[in-house]
Parts: sequence; structure tokens; C-alpha cells
Amino acid sequence: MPFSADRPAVIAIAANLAQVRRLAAFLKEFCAREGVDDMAAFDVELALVEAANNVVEHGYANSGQGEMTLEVIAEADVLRLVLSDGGAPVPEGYFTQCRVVDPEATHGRGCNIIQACVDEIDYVSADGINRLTLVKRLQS
Amino acid sequence: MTGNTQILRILIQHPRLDAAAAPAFRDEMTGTFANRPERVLIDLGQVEFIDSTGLGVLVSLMKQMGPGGRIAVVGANAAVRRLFQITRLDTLFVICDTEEQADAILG
Repeated sequence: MPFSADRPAVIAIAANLAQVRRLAAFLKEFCAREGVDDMAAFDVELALVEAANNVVEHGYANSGQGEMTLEVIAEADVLRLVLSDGGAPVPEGYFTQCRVVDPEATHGRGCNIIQACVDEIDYVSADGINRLTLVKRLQS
Repeated sequence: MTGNTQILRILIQHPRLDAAAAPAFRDEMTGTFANRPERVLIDLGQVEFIDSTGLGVLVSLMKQMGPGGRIAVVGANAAVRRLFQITRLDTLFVICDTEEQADAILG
């Protein structure tokens, strides 16, 4: 690209699947504004949606309770997404040790998709807050 | 949705086939797949985005077809194609550029 300066953007949503679409729309708009190329923008949208679905369905057990916050930061040649929530944390190693998925499985692809779509994944759970950071390197 | 005796044609009209849309889509397809069609052509021309939950529904439809059943997909945009590649579901579904190609493959 590269980006000229750090430009963080933040959105908070209720933790339900309909609101995950708002999160995706927010990220798409950000990517369009920053001139992120289409495939990189798709990759981060898909990774984000999978991560957010996971928060809704597992972190908050589809309760309709809770919320999550997305911060998007444009750095030099890098897009950084930080998704925070107060739900149940994922098991240790969840995002780095994805299991092999049977091609005919109807569930369980989210982790693999996230790994395929971004370059770095960091997950920290502390003081009741889970913070997933997804980093996508962008073509210069 | 249209169909004939040989190839069942399904036009998916959900722009986002995601976790929010998946339950409704699954319900819409339940009756359609009750007769265990053997050849299905799915048109994704109106679909802009699919997530793993949407993909899961497509896989479940294929499993309802039983052994020998085949699904071809047309109209997939670049993002949707990439998802099929990432998940290696392009080995389970036949991704086609045109309906004519799909018809020939499903033939």
C-alpha cells in the first residue's frame, strides 16, 4: 500500500450473529477507505467473521448476552485487527493448533480458515477479557 | 429455484450465506433435498460472502444426496472461490465457470 499513518477505528457490538454482519461491514468500509486490495480485504473479513461467530457461539454460548469490540489499525504494510470480548475463553492453543477437518464435516472449519487468511494470530485472556489479534501483511 | 428430472437447479438468494442466514437456508433446502437428488447445480451468482457455517450447510446438503450424488457450483465470485480452495471443498464440489460446463460435468 503502504499506509501513511496509524489510523485506528473502533466498533462495539452486541454478541449475536446478526450484529456480526455490522462488524464485517465496518471492516469492509475501513478496507475500502484505506485502499486495501480486494483479496486481502476478503481474507480479513472472513477471518474476523469466523472469530466473531466463535465468540457468539462458544464464548457467550449463543446466550444473546455480552458484547465484543473490534479495533482495526492500519500500520505500514500491515492491517491489525483486535477483537475483544468478555465471554468464556477458548482453550489454550486453539488458534495455533487447529485440528484436521474431515472434508465431509459440517462444522469445525473456523480455526483453519482464520489461520489461512491471516499471517499472525495472538490470543490473550486475562482479567476476564479475551483479546484476539489478527495481523494481515499487505502487498507494497 | 427451478428443476428438471436430471439436474436440480438451485439459485441461492442470500447475499451473505453466513451463520445468521444458515438456519433459514437449511430450512429452505430441507424439502428440496428430501427426494435425494443425484445431480444438483447450485448458482452462487447472487452470493457475495460465505462463512464456514454457510459452507457447512452446503456440505450437509451433499451428504443428504447419498453415494454418487454430485453438486456443481456456478457463479462463485473470487472471494467465494478462495473459500472453497482454503477449505479444500473444491475437491468435494465441482466449481464451474459456466452453467454449460456444469451441465456437461453433471451430465
